[in-house]
Amino acid sequence: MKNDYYRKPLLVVLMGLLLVFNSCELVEYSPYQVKLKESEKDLNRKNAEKIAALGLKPTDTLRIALISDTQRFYDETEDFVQAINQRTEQKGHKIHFVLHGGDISDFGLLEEYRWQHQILKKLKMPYLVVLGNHDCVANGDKVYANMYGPFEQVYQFARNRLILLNTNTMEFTEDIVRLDFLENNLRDTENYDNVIVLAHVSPFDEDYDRKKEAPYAQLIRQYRAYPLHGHKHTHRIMQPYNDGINYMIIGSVSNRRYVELTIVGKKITHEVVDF
Amino acid sequence: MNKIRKILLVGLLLHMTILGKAQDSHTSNTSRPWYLPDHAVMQFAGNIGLLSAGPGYSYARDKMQTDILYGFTPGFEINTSIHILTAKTAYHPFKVELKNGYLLEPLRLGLGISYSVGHQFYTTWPEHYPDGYYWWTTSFRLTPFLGASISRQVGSGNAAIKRVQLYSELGSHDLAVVSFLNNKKLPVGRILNLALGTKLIF
Repeated sequence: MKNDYYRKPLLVVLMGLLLVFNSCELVEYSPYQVKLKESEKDLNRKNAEKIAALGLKPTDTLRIALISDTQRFYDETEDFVQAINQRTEQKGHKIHFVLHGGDISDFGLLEEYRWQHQILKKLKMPYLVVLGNHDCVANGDKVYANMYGPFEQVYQFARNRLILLNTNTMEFTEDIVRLDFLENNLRDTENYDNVIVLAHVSPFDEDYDRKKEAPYAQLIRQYRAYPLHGHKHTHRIMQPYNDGINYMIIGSVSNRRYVELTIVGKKITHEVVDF
Repeated sequence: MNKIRKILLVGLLLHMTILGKAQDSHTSNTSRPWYLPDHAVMQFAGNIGLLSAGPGYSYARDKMQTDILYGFTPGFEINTSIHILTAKTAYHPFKVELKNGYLLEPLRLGLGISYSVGHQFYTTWPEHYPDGYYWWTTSFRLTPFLGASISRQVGSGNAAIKRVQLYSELGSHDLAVVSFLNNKKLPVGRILNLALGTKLIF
């Protein structure tokens, strides 16, 4: 038969097409699929290793850029990357890494995580992301776990400790503000000079578990931690507990604004930068 | 949130009324009872499962087709696979008859409404969320698509399968479209996906 002549090449072409579709992200099985490439996995750990490789010494000035709530703000996130990449090139103004306060996605979809990473990987410095409430929606928490790692994480760069905590109490049925984890990583005060706690929902937010508010604030106060939060989109600094501890709401990237932390010894200062 | 529910309901009703009409304009084979499907479909990808399959109906002089599909997506990195039920309606306005029993339908335009089954997917959000906290539902997705199809006659008369069709679709889903519309720097290619399917036409 005449048509048999075409059958084999057609099959080969089809198989080839399938391979091509698969490799260039043209194939979507479900918006909720959790199928990552090796290069998209475990990014916080990989990026923390890059920061560690900088070999920061306790006497070095450490600069960290803070952003948050970039969900569905691709244009602004793109502009942020450009702004920060220019800023870090200025003489004596090296920014060592970027901290993201959560809500990297709006609908908790792998695609959204991926689109954000495709922008943020253009940063000239590593970045770390904490889990936000939107990031948990549908299979989002599973995407985060695969892409950025556990919901609670701890890192140390020179004498600066960094604790990432899950405070999205609306999204979990289990008891999630892991105050035990927080305290265990705060207790050894002799090993650090500064400790930053990065958590998406602030303890004084209406979306935070009231039962966990006072004990959280107590730990922050006791160990003189530096709390950073996202969730609310307007940048703010306040002392809700009148205990000398400033709580910072980083603010959404949609306001075209980021915060730059400068750490010299035991002193942390911040500057709000518009772009 | 109510607005979204209304849109979904309208979408669902639209599919149902279209299906209802399939009963009296059964052009592909009038001698068969209305409830017997006009074709069977198997599709690869397209946001409705890695593989999806099911029966379908043809009506409006074979210009409209509605397929009812069950789709399956493996868990990959996680333990839970995703089960998706989809109703999909496509409009084929043009037919080009080619040699050797080939038929080209150069335009295939349609919309699917899919339902993802699972405790992590909500149609109405649990009570502990304030009203309108999240404005969308996670269980239902709308999947618009654009494509083409080609079919070939393989049997006639009493043959069970009369034509075999191959189709491809470029599609997206509502949440991706919303993301695209809000941004200038998100390339359109990012929100598009390709699906391939085949139909056995009875």
